[in-house]
Amino acid sequence: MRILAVDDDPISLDLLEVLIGQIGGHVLVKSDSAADALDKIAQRGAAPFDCFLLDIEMPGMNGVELCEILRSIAVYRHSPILMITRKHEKRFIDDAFSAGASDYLTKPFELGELRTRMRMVEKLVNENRKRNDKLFAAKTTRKIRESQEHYELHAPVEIDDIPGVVEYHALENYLAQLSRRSLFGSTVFAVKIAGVERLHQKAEAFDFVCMITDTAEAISDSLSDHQALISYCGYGTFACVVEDGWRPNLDSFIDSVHKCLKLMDLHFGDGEEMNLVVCAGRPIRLLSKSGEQAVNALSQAQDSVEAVCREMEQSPLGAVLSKRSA
Amino acid sequence: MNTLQAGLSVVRKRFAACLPERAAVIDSLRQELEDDPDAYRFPSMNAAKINLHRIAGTAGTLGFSNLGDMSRQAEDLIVAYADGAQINFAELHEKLQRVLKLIDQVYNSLPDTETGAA
Repeated sequence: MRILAVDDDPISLDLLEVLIGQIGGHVLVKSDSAADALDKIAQRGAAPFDCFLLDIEMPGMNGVELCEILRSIAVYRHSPILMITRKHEKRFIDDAFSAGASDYLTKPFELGELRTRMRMVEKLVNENRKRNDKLFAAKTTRKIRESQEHYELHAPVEIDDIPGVVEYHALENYLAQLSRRSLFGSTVFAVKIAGVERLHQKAEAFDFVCMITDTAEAISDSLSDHQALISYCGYGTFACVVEDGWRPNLDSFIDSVHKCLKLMDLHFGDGEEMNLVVCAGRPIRLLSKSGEQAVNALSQAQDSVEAVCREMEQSPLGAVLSKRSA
Repeated sequence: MNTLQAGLSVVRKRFAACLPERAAVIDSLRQELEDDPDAYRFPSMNAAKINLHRIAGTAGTLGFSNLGDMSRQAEDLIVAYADGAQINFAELHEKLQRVLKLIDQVYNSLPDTETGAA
């Protein structure tokens, strides 16, 4: 991989160079500031980078701001960005994930940990390459397939520029690596679009992607008073991690999401109103759960919302919804 | 010496070469705290914080965990102060003194080939 490391401490960059060199198979390019990194990225004729290692605390533009800029560059929208931070700097870590970071590394570096992370990053880079190849193939055959194009219900949806919305693997990394102490005040819950299977069957690919993106926006708006990370999990389900000890009042939260969706006035391509209904599952407080248990809590939250949705779909309200989207 | 150790030795030499300058910035804050504990000193605190942060970030990997840990503790106090918390300046002074002592120990423990003093 071609890696760009950005850190204002030259010793830290030298150290990374030695450690990455020891792991082998990668080329590390060093930058001592965000401005210098952006110059290197903009260099004509230079090969693009596969991965970024960004120190969070830098004078001038910090790593989080640089991460945001990188995510706005199309070619780096899905590139792995690992933020470098000290342990327990949770406020920075939260900002970094909100800005689109994929994962983070803690200082002082440990060779074993770095090796493991680089392996995971390489996997992600290969997945991105496959996805890009697929997108390229899809674009070249677009004219033929345009009329039949359909979005898989389980597929991830690219959601950009909505505060707090991150990719699912980034949310998992976030939970997996925060210490028990840092997770103590956090709560995980999931939100699902009721009757998503029927909506998916009815919607064109574009309508479906808009529906997911707009729902993400409604959830993000409804959680705007809290520090929250939100991720789309596929199947019309969103996982939310909320910090600051908030005990969610899910009834008022769901009301707020419905109000936002109503204001968006969503329609299918044929002009019919979407009338989305969402439901929320049981909130799970992370308390002193380990990172691994916290990741498991994400799955439990999704199971819980599935059950709530099933129940709703079997209720009289479900019959009304079913008729609406039939 | 394997390639990792050889690489680390080169970085350790660069780290050591930076220590006198970093120690001078940290010592300047320590001196200010000693001279007048109530004086406004945010600029020197910020300068010390940057240097403590850098030491804390790399010392552990280079084999100087005590120096890394103590630098981190001193930096944490300065960060807390910058965030508006009340801190015990005597405690900060003591931690800075310990950081400076550990810097001396590290510098003197390295062979001249690693401090560049040869």
